[in-house]
Amino acid sequence: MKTIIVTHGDFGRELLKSVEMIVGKQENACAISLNPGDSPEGLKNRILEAMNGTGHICVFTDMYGGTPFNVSIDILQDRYFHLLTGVNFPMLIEYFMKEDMNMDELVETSKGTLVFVNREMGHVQEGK
Amino acid sequence: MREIILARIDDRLLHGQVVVKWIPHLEADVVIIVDDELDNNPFLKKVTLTAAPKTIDIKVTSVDNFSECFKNVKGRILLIAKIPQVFENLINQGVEIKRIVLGGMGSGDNRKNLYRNIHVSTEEMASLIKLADTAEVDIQIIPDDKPRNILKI
Repeated sequence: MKTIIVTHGDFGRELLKSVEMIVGKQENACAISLNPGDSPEGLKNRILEAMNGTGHICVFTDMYGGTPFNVSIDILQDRYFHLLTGVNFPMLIEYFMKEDMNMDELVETSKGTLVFVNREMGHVQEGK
Repeated sequence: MREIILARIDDRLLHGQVVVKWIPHLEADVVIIVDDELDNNPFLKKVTLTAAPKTIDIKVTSVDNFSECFKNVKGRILLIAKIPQVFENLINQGVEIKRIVLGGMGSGDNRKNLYRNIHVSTEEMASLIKLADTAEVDIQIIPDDKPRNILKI
């Protein structure tokens, strides 16, 4: 499984580095940054280049409607790969920890990692 | 209540700045993307509609089917199209558009640079000037930018 993270700026590259602090170096993963001034076409070409080769591909993007997402769905019209959006730290760790991760399961598990800690503890001062 | 609070020209249509900045700033209830190409691409249209966060109500329509789409929405509406001629067409159909902003028009296709990331062809400029007869037309990439009136550039 090849993993490609496409984000606004270096968020994806740094996210991958941070995740690797926990799960170790991921040889089959890379991140692609969209920087101010980069064209969607240029981004598309960099993603296509990263997709080169055989095997299954999973693409993580940062946000629905953003250029990394828009360019990825443009590519998805022509070739099959898994596409997720809303990538975050716990999600990516969970993904790398399991072989042959089921994507539906990954999304469901990830939703459970978003927690308003005070609420869970019953420690909320209303009005603040 | 059904009111078009803003019509935005942006050849990226929906993208990060629109989702994060414009929709909350305008307190828009509905975003209507008016684009024949997207409307005629079932795959991209489906992704645009189904992958949207639950907090955003998005519609996609062709220019010809706009009135059909418009009568089924309520609230504060943001329109997005790639080129000014789309809004000119809608105004000719009787649609009321009071304010238009230019948010992003890429270079190429005989376009000349107007301001920062805004490029226009002769036809597009003519259309913008026509639009300025009945609407306020500004360059404003994000809500925080000071609007620059198209007639004063």
